Amino acid sequence: MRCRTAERLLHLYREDELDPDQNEALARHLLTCDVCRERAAFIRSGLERLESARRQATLPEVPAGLKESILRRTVAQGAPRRTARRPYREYGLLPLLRPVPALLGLLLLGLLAWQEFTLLDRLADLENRLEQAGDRATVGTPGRGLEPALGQGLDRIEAAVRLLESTAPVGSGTELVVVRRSDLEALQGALRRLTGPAMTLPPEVVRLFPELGAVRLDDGLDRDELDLLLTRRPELLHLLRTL
Amino acid sequence: MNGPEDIQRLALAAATGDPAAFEGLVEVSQGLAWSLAVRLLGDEDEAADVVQEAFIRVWRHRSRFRPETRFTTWFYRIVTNLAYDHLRARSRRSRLFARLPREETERVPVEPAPDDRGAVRLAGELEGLIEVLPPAQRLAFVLRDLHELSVREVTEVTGMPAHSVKTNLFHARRRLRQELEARSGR
Repeated sequence: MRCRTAERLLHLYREDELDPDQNEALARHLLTCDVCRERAAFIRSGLERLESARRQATLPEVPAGLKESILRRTVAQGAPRRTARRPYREYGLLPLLRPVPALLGLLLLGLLAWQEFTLLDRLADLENRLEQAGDRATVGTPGRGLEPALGQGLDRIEAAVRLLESTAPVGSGTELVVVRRSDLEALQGALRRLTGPAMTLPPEVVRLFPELGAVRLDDGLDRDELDLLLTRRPELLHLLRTL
Repeated sequence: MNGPEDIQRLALAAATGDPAAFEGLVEVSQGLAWSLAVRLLGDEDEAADVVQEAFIRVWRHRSRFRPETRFTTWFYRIVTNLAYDHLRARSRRSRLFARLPREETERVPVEPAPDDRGAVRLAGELEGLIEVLPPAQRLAFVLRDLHELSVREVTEVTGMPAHSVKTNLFHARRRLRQELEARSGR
């Protein structure tokens, strides 16, 4: 066992974190390595302190009114609100005419909104599918959302989602982010800062998304971890290329 | 009554659309959601949003709840996903879009200052420490060490493979241990 592995295992001390083989290998290593034995004593005293702090941590108090607020926004909305109707005579002939413009207006609104609602539904559906696939995903420019006007890109996004669904979930932190073309440069710069020259948006992505760019990345990892992830999970790079 | 069986019974009744059962479910599980969200986010306002949104999702998607699923696992997953999205959005905003024009970045929220209203800190020596952890490490540490979930439960809730949970735990504990040592060395 290498000393680096031993250090990692020393931090995994609670039940079900180490299997018996690892425990045994660690014990054997500590018998033969003076440096690790010394380090183990040091780490354990620090971990004991962490354990003690952990036990002292108290549950934060639930704010007053939280439950009521939740109920207002859930079960209470199930009951339709009723407003008292004024008698027809107060309106004269108006009630007879009201349905005509109302119907026309509804038809017009329906026509205008049809395409937009369809696109929004498709977006919502895609987001649901991504969520169900086990990957946390954002369809849209982070912080701003994807405008329905970018609907022509939906088919490509849908293809990307199908691809995501067909690959094994990479797990927490893996994300499909679809961004506007105008944000690509910022994203590229951020990727370069995160990963160095090793990872940039492949040209295929840009070519297939003429108005959008797409990249799957994990910004919950630091640079070393990301490098490690990329070397261990080639499907990430594969996905980038396939997109 | 708030044992696991009671919670499961309430969840099953709420899944049929029973408002009283849902109210009971909120009553017994809001504490769990709240403590998890506060610990993950370190901010009361954001945590309140997450908890409310989580219950709204539970109510809206109640028909999807299956008796063979443990409600607490399902609910942990919803709260964790929402909180994690907040965390990632926060870190993404501060990292990925640092180069955007000024008017874009001006609206980017920053980590709350220590004296911000609504900022919450944990009691004891862990106070303030968790906030130094990146999102994935924070998630693994809070679920495993503060909410006492098993490694298997953490994998079910987060979708991380077990080895990733352990890797994140290792990094989190090492970082927190080092922070504690640095503090005591001051």
